[in-house]
Amino acid sequence: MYIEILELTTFIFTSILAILSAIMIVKTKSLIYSALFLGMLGISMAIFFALMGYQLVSLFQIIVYVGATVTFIIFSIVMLRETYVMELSSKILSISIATLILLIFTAIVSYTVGMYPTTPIDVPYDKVAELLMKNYTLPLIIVIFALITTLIEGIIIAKKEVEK
Amino acid sequence: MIPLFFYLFLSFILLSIGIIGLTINRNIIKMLLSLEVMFNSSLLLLLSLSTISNPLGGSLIAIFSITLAGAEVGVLVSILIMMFRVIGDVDVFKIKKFRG
Repeated sequence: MYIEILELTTFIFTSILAILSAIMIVKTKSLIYSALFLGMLGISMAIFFALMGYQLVSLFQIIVYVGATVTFIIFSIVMLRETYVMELSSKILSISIATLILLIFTAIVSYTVGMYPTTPIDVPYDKVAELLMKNYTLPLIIVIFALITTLIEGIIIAKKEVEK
Repeated sequence: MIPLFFYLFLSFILLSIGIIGLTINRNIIKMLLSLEVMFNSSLLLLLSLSTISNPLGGSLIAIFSITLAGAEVGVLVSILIMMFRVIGDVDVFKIKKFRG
């Protein structure tokens, strides 16, 4: 009983944090603050994944996404000089389209899923590792090459900056 | 037990905010950050739906997509830095000068 209340409280607070962070990403004029709020959104997503029972994915989200991707974005923004953030004038149109999409998806999901409960699942780490190494070897190699490419790009950009 | 609808509704809210950010901004870095909001919402949708069908497969896809998102951001940001060096701005309407 207490665990369920704790879960629900964590969910409510984390969802408020996630929505506020997402709004601030779009709304803030400063790009650095936008990137920092993206990091906060990533952390709140990791909390959701842990609540659902995906502890390994949650760790991945914090280490790879917040720790590497968001940090990479922040450092890249620092490399550029602060630019003026311009907004288009057709705000009402885009907000109404987004609201329409939200309403349609919510209606479909409330009709099909309803109040179906989610129980925290248990994903065994050894099974995930075994599947990655045996069944998904080629995607794993492709992902490794993609990350190495990103690393090389970062080094080349930094080198050009030094030469300049 | 948290209802599945709550997770799905939250992911739709984040998707809508991402769409608004993508359509109202002219700055390409802000557009990239809005795309990242949409990526996070889709990841939440994937994992919340995979709790009722295939948790193992869902977690594998999530791990791959998080890693590929890192690589994708790296590529995009390096293109942005090159664009900034050529044009001196990150406005999408000035991207025509970047051609050729």
